[in-house]
Amino acid sequence: MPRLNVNGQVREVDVDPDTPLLWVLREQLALTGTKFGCGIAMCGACTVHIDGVPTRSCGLPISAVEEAQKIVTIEGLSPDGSHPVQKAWLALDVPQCGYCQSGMIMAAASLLEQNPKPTDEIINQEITNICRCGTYNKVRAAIHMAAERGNAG
Amino acid sequence: MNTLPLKITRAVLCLVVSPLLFAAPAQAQEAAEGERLFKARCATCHTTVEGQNRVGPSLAGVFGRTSGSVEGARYSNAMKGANLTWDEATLETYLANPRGVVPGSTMTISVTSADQRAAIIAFLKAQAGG
Repeated sequence: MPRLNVNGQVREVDVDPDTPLLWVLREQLALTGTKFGCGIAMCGACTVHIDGVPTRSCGLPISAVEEAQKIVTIEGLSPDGSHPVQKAWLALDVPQCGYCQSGMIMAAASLLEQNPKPTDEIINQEITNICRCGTYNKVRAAIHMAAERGNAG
Repeated sequence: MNTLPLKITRAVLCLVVSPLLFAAPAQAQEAAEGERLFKARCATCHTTVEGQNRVGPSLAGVFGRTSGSVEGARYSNAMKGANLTWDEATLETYLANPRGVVPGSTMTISVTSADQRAAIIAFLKAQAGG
């Protein structure tokens, strides 16, 4: 039976190996923070971290994920919303409808791990998540704020 | 024989020469667009850094390489047995429908636009330095 390491816990899941990770997270593991947006890895609403790398889970069959790989979902980003990206998102009121924001936050958190002080140009290039409400300006501002404040708290 | 006024001669020369000057930048532009597309569509699973395998193998040096051959990379059994050589032609058919070309592949996304495929392929080719 496939086993996955999700948010620090090893979970056994009784599913077909072709099942996309997104389905397993939401249905078998009841971690519904990660969203289905397009199903073709274009929108980013399904973004999780696999070994720290932002990965779109909608098209990724779990046969392609090893037990040793650490999957982190939005629920696991912090125990209490205290990740600098989450705090900046709150401070600047970034989400509108909120649907894309789990994926957006995961993408932003990973960007800041790679590049602690990204410019607007880098943010535009690296964050390819789609937001129908158009919160992009606030997303950029919040990423800058999270970069400023960093992990100093 | 009447000589053409200098202005017209210069204009004609510009028209003849400028397409030649623009050929290289146009290719560079396609590869730049390919890089943008790579980041948006491919970078979730692949990098172009040698040795950096993720969900999919590193695509550094993919041109001319045999499929399923990167040391240490994860491949589906289907891809391990596919025995393709990656070039413009094979990448063009593969990216349009990976699981049509390699049934059982775990690469479940595809690039349906021919222009986008061409740009991505140009980018991957440029990575190999040619």
